[in-house]
Amino acid sequence: MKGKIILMLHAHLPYVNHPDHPYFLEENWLFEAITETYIPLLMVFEGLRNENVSFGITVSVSPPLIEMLADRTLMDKYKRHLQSLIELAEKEVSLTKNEEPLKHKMALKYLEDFESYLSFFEKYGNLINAFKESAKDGNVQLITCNATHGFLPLMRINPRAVHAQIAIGVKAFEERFKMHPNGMWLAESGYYPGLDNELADQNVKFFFVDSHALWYADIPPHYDVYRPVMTPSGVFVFARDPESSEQIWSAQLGYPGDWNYREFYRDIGFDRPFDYVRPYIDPSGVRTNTGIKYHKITGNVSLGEKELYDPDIGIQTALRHARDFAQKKALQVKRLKDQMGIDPIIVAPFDAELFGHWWYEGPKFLEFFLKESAGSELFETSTPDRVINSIDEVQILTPAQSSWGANGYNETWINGSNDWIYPHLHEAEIRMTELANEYYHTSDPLYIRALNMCARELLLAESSDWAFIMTTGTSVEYAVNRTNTHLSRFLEIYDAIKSHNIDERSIELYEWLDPIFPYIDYRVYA
Amino acid sequence: MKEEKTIRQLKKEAMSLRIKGYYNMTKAELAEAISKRRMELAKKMREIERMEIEELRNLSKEFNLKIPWKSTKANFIKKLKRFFEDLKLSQEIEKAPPSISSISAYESTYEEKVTAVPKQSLPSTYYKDKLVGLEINQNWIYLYWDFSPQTYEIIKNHPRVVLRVYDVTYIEFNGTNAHRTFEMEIDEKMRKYYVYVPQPGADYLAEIGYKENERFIPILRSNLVSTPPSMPRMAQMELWMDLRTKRKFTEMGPSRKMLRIERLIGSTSMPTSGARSGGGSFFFLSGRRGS
Repeated sequence: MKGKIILMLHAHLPYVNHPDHPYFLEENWLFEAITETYIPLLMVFEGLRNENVSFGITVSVSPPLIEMLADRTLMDKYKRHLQSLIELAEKEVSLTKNEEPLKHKMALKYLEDFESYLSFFEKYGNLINAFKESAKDGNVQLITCNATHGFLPLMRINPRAVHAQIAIGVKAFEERFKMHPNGMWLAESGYYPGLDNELADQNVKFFFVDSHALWYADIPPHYDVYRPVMTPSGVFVFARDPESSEQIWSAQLGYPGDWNYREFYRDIGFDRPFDYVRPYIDPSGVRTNTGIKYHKITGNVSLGEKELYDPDIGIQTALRHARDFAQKKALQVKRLKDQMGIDPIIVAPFDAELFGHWWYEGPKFLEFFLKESAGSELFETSTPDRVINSIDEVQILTPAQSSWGANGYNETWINGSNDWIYPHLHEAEIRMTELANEYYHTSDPLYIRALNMCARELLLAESSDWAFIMTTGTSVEYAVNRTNTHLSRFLEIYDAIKSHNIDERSIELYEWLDPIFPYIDYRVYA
Repeated sequence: MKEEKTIRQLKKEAMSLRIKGYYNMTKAELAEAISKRRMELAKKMREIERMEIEELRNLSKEFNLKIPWKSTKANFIKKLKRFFEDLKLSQEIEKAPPSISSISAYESTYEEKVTAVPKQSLPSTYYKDKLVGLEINQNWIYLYWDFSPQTYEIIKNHPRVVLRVYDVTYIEFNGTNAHRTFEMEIDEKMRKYYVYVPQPGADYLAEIGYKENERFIPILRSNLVSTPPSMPRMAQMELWMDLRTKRKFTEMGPSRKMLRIERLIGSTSMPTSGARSGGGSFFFLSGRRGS
């Protein structure tokens, strides 16, 4: 038997969809993530399968992301975005002929990559199909997340709202992928004792927690974080290995900061003459990133002093890092096995968008690591489903309340910058349950639409992303606006229902603006 | 002097004037909201001739007037005027000062209304008695509260309003048996407070009330707030399950197999590794690249 490495990539973006605008700055979050992370990762999985490499990786696709990837209007916009990126890359190819050879080499690579992404996208029609295809042979395990990535420890006082987040998270996955998710990534790894009962009720077999959920559990974990445990309600729990995260992230040893890697912050959207990049940046004329970047991190120098990036050296570096990581995992497995007398199971969760978006060479790193691991005699990469099927005994304990946020608890999502949202969220949650009970048996189609729209507005307001953005201080205005918009609309529709004065036109408008979860049933709140 | 209207009549009127959240209002608030709203509408009525078709449409939609979307401007004006006349706004026209500042929320276009709702649009109170506690981390809890108008009257009329936090870990709290009781005077305008609590893995309750002489009279009590534990538990009997037979069995702790050394938590740079591996790195990455 071999030790197991469970790589867990959490793919999530908040629901940003503005069909009323031909261009909306924040929609680029999704477009960039598709081009730089999701398609490159899916192509890595496809390539490994074509080469018959046996591997294991877990991807949680959050319901807001699922819904955006399934939205035709948004995906049409994405296609146009990618087409214009290809156009820009073509211009870059001819422009860089007269510039440094490294730039020209990179421009050719961008053009080739973008074109291959477009044909990948067109081959599957949308990324939902592509994800589904990747999971077909069990090497990739897809799991879901709670409905709109609401941070559940701060929702705990309204159990029906928590229930709705879990139930809709499962439902969204089933509706779009046509299969049941065995696992759930809880937003921000936010867990509190008792939450596992909700998961058990929805037939979710496992979830992930941070390390200290086991360290401070009601009974000490027999094997530290290196074997899954089970909660009293019968749900398996996989806990984060701090060592793996540190190896990727550490300021001194972490891989993504290597000087040979591509620099994220130097982009032709800022470097090229204004008139030239004008069609590819924000229509208001504000310069934005285009995704075409020619420089490497270089060292601790200012952006102006960055040197040109060489993609071949970038790839060699990723290969070196992948081999180093595989070697470290082998040593860790050996050390733990000696201590434990049983195969360790090492869990390494990451935001998927780290790979490709922030760390340009990240998808290549993963590909190299998965291939390297396939040849290891000490360990293999695996998935929770495979691990659960392979173990004979499991310790039962109740993990401690925890999250993977700064300092391990809730302070990222509740502090002076965002605490004002909770009285409103909690009140809306109470009112939603009140409405669901009061109108549980209504058969009036307009009431049903209004009630469902109320549920959507509440769910959208609950996204942990808004509180997170308010804390970090970038794009704050957008996050504040979204919180206000959804809560105001919720109160407006609530008033309309209670006063029996529902305006069909405004319900129609809101349904068009936020078409998330078309299959929602508000009675989940009752 | 106008005759006194009943709260029922006021609510009906507020509903016909499309005043948001009217059903939660007290009589005084209703009267105020109605008079304010009538003033606004009176101003609208005076400006109606100068309005753009877009605004006219929105206005008719707001009052559910069922005027066909493609009607002419003249038709919109005619029907809206008739509607406003029925509301008997003429007294307000006399009363309205000549230069009431514009009511921007109503004059904005539909598009703006949808994408840029101002922060002030959320109510500052829901007029309900409420005291809610949320745990932030092992040593801090957050409390927020709200008052019904009746409770607010009581609070206002007592000079010494007090916030109390009790440590009630493992006890059935009866008001006097807490392990520890923390207290401070609060201002009637305060609606939130961050409280340091000394014990991780403990249960807390909060109360708001007032002091009469030295007696504490509680008015509101919070939910139970449990701070997360931050220490490993003592080794004890372990519970296991054989997954083939589904049978549970127990085993003596501490572990025979693992050397129990507590992990040193720290980081080579801020924010901590938790924050860096934590959610939302899409929007935010620390300056670890030195660029």
